[in-house]
Amino acid sequence: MLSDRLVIRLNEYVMPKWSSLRRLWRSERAPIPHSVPFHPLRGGIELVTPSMVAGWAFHPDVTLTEVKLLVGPLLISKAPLNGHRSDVAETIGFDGSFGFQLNIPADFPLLFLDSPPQVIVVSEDGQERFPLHFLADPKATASLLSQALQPDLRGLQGHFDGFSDDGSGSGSGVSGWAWRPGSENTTVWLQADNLPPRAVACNLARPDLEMIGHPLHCGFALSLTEWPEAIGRRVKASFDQEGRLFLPQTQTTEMGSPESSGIIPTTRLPIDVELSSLRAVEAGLTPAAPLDTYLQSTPVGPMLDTPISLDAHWQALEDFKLLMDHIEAKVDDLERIQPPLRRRSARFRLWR
Amino acid sequence: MALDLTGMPLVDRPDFEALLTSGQFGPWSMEAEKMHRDGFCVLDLGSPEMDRLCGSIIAQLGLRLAPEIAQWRQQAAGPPRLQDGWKDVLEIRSLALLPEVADLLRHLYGREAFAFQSLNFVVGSQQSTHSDAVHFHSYPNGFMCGVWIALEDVSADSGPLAYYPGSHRFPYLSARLLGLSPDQVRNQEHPQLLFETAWQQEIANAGLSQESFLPRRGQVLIWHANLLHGGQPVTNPLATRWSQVVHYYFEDCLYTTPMFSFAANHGGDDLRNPYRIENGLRCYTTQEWQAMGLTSPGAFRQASHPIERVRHA
Repeated sequence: MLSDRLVIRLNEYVMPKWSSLRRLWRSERAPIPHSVPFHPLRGGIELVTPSMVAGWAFHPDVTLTEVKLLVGPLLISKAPLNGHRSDVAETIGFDGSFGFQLNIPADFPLLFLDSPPQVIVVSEDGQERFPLHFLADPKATASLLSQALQPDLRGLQGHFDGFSDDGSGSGSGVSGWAWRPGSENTTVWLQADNLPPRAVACNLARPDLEMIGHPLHCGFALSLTEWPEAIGRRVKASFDQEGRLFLPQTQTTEMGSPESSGIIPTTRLPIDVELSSLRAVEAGLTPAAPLDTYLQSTPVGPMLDTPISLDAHWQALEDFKLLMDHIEAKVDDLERIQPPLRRRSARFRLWR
Repeated sequence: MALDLTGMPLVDRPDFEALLTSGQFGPWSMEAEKMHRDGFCVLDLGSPEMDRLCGSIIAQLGLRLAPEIAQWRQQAAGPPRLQDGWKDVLEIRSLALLPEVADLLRHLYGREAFAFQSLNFVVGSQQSTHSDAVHFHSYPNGFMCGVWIALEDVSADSGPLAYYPGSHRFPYLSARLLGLSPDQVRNQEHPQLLFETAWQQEIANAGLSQESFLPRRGQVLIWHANLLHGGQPVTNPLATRWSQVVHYYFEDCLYTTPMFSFAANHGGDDLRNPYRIENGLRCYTTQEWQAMGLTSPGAFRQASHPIERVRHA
């Protein structure tokens, strides 16, 4: 009797549990249809602009062949993984073609993209798919790609040529080019450390670019004299005001140097000289000490000896001082101007 | 559902010659070459079955359009035609789904084609020269084409179809590209007129000359989305030109109306949700449309031009 009851117990309670355990064990050990290779993918996205996404990818176990830009169910762009990158080959110790460049079309018709964009690299047989992330900031990948796909930016292309110095100050400055198919007015934003972005229109003639298929009027330039507060600072050019999508550039650019500009960095002039000169100009008078004369006669001074690491702080203080001085001058002016007294009529006086 | 918004039709690709050499186009190599070079190709699908279909359509539409035909002959109305007759005339539907045409298009474009609109003409349309790609187009560009089927032998005095070989290489135009505002298009009863100057300019610049199509019953002309074409003048008002035009889209694209597609700040592209003549249903369900993050299709078109006032040769 006992054995019968034991068997019943076993059948009712233990065996189902045992078989579900076995099922679980089997399912865990069953081969996964698309096995995930042990080695991690190397590489990622190096550059995102409104017209292109570029980078590299390598996997020691999987032959990768194609890169795709997807937004939900929409395949926006695809490109082969076939760019030779000697720097990558040197880093990973394999020779091969690991680079890619995806083009973002300018005429893509959708205004709103609900799903977050992603870039994936696909294996030769299409079975393995790896997401690629922005190398400089992996968490920002989707938002950066979304920004690049914005309708007002989509398809913008360009290059930041950097700083060129003709030694005069007025001709020295930064330059580059940008344009978008089907759009006549293009603006880029210069981004200097600790300064608000500066909009620059891309409408200068660039015959050198026209020869290779770009529009003639796609160049931009900004001289030192037009943006003196940026002198000595690192400058980049971006397609967007927020400064997330930068124009490609070959090297770090600094907005001139004190020696090359011939202009004293930061405020350029002691504030009293500058203000008195400006007031004189506003009043239609010749300034007592012309700015150019002052610039030519005043030595650059000890500011060049300032440690580079303190430049930004010192610059910020100088900017703040300049701002306060301007405000103070305005207040002075306002206090000097007295409102005219109202002359009351005789009837009003009688009524009172 | 997934859409592949990349690439271009095989016949438009820069490596077309290599594709041709590699045998990519199968039995349709000659047609592919003609399409690539001139923007159209011709098939002869004459057969007893084709004769039966053509005869049946002429007989049915002859009765159905009798009042319009009479008005046309009295010069009291424009050329009679029937749009989307596939919905209730079985033979029109059959001509829109010819398997030879579907096979040819699959090879030439590299995607599956589906018919989305039919137009039946009784006489020459006399329509001015135009590109279909401003009325309906696709993204990626080029995945649309027209198929013109002769339901009877066409005579020169009936206002035959005319076209400009090579014009398919001109840039695709849209309201956005011409800098047109929604108001400009809205205020124009026939918005195609806004594009005609640009086309004539392109023709003059390229020095292209016009050719006309004088087919026998059962011959089919397949034209590229951007081929400039129209109808020649009808010199004999009693002459008929029974024909059927079928427009095809290709799978996994977005479908647009470039005539009503503006810059992003003016609403962007006008998207279409075309019919599939094969099953009589719209291409996307509402759920699919929303899942793709799309706004309602044809909002501008429906608001400003309830009936698209365009005619196709």
